Amino acid sequence: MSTISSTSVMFTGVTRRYGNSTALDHVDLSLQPGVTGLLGPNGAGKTTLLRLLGTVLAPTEGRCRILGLDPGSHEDRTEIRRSLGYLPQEAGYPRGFTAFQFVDYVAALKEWTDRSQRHAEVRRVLALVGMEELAGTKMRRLSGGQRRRVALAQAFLGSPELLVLDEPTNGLDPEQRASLRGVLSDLARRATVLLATHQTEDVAALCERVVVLDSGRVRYDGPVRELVAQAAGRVWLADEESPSALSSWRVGTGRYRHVAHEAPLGAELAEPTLEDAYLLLRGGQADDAVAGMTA
Amino acid sequence: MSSAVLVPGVPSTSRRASAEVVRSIARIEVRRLLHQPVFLVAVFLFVLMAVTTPFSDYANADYVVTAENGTETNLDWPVVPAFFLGLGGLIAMNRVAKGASRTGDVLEAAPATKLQRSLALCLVCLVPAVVAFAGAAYVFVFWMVDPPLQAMAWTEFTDTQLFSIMVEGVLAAVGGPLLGVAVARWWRWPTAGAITAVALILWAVLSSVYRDSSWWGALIHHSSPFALAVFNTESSTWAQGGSHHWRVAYLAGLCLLAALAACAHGTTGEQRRQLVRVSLAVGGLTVIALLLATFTGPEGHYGPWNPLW
Repeated sequence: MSTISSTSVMFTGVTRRYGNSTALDHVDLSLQPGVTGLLGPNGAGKTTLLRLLGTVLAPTEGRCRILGLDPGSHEDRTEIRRSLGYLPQEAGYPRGFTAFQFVDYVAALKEWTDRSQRHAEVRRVLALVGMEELAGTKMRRLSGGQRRRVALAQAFLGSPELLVLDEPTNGLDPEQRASLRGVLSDLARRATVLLATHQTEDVAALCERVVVLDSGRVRYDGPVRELVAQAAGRVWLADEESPSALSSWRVGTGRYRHVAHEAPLGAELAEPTLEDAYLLLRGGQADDAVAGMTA
Repeated sequence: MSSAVLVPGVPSTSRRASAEVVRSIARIEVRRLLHQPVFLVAVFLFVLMAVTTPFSDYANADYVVTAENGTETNLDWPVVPAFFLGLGGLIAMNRVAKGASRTGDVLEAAPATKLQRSLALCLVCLVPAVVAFAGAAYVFVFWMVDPPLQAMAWTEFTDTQLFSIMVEGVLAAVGGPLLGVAVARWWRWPTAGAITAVALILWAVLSSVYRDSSWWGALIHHSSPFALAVFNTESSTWAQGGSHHWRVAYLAGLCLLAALAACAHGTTGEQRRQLVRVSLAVGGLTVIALLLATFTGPEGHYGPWNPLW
C-alpha cells in the first residue's frame, strides 16, 4: 500500500472524449487529504472525472497520478485500487444477494481472503452506515436509501486512502445524511475524499474546498467560503418577482429570494449560501470574477 | 450511521496471493450457483437418474432383449450428466457470471482483475463436474460389479473404453458451465445462455442423424460435446465407432478452450496475446484429438436390429 503524500491526486491536462463528444476538456486538478466537493450541472463531466479517479476509465489525453501511481500501468492500477473506495452513481446488485453478501462479495474482490477478517470488516462497514440490523435482508427488499447505504458501505471497506463518491446522499433522509457527514469527516482525517453531488448543503457542511465543473471544464476550484463570498451583496429577499434576476424563487415565508447583480425594487440583502454562489457562477455573468479565483 | 465504530480495517499486508483471491471469490460464487433454481433442478434430476439407473429394467441380468423392448441400453447413461448438469450448468453459470457483472463499476474498480474473476467462475464449474463424477463413478462401479449382461452394447466395449465413455459425461458436465461463463463474457444478450443450450441440443441431435459408417458421419458424431455412444430403435442398432479415449481428449480440449475464452475477455496487451497463443495451441490439439477419435479405435456397428448380437 502506498503512503499518503500531501497530494493524493494530480491530473494535468486530462481530456476524455466519447467519440466526438468531449466529456472532460484539459482538466487540471490536484486533491489532498480532506473532503473536496464536486459540483456541476448534469452532463458537466462529474461522473467521467470520478470514473477516471476510480481507475475505471482511462483518459484520452493528459497525465494522471493517483496516490503517487500511474493508473495507466497495470501494476500501479491494481495498487491504487487496493487503496480506493469508490461509489459509482449507479451501483447494481447481483440477484439474490443480501446486504451482507453483497458487501462480502465486494470485500472478496478487494482481496480480503481471510473469511473471518473479511466478515468482521463487512460487519464494521455495515454498522458504519447503520445497516447492521438489515444485513441479512435481500437487496431487492431494501428501499432505495437503504441500498445506497449498502453501496456506501462497500466503498468504506478497508478504510481507503482515497474515497471517490458519486452522489452518496441520493435517497438518504436528512438524519442519514447528517450521520454520513459525520462518517466522512472522520474518514477525511486521513483520507482524500471527493464528493460529487447536486446537494450544495452537503458540500457547505463538509468541504473546505469545492470544484465546479461545467461543460467538461473546471469553472471554479477553491475554498468554499471564497465562492460563497462571491455571492455577498448579490442575494436579495423581496416581495415581488424580479425578471432581471439570474435565479429567483418563492420561499416559505411568501417572499422571493433573488440571486441578482442588481437589487430588485424594495429588496433587502440576504446572507448568501453556497447554492446562491453556485447559481451565480452558473448564471454566466460571474465568469470574470471567478476566473481570477480558479486555481 | 455511526462514527463511533469507525476503526481502520485490516491493512493490506494481510492479503494473500492472487490464487487465494481467486479461491476466495470462487467460494462466494459457489454459493451463488447453489442458489440457482435451474442448477438445483438439474442436480436433483441427475441424482434421481443416477440412483435409479442400475436398477432399471434393461440393467437387469434377467432382462430379455428383444426388438420390442430393446430400445434402450445402459450406455444411454453417459449422456445424462451431459444433458442435466452440462446444459443446466451452462444456463446457471451463465446467470451467475452475468449477475456479477450487474455490479458494474464497483467490480471494475476492485483490485481483483477480470481474469481473476473469470478464473474463479471457471473453478466454480468444478461443482457440477464433481456431482457428475460421483454419479458416473456410482453407476460405473455398480455395473462393473454386477454387469447388465443382457444389455446389448455393454459387452461390446473394453473396460477402459467404458471408463472413457463415463468420463465423456463428466467432461460434458464441466464443459457446459464453462461455456456458460464464456458466453456470458462475450455475448451480452439476456437469452444468450438459453440459445447456446438449444444450439448444443441441435448439435447433439445432428450427431445421431448419420447412423452409418461414413467418416463424416463419425466426425459429426464425435464433434458433438455430448452424444450417445449407442443408439437403438425397434428396427436398427448403432454403436458409434472410433476411439473414446481420444474423444475424452477432444472434450477436455473443448473445456479448456471455453475456459480460455472466458478468461481472455477484458485482458489486453501481452496477457491477451499469451492467451490467444495458448488458445491456438489448444485448439490445434483439440482438432487433432477429434480426428484421432474419428479415425482410430474399433469399428462401430451399424445395421438392422439383431437380438442375438
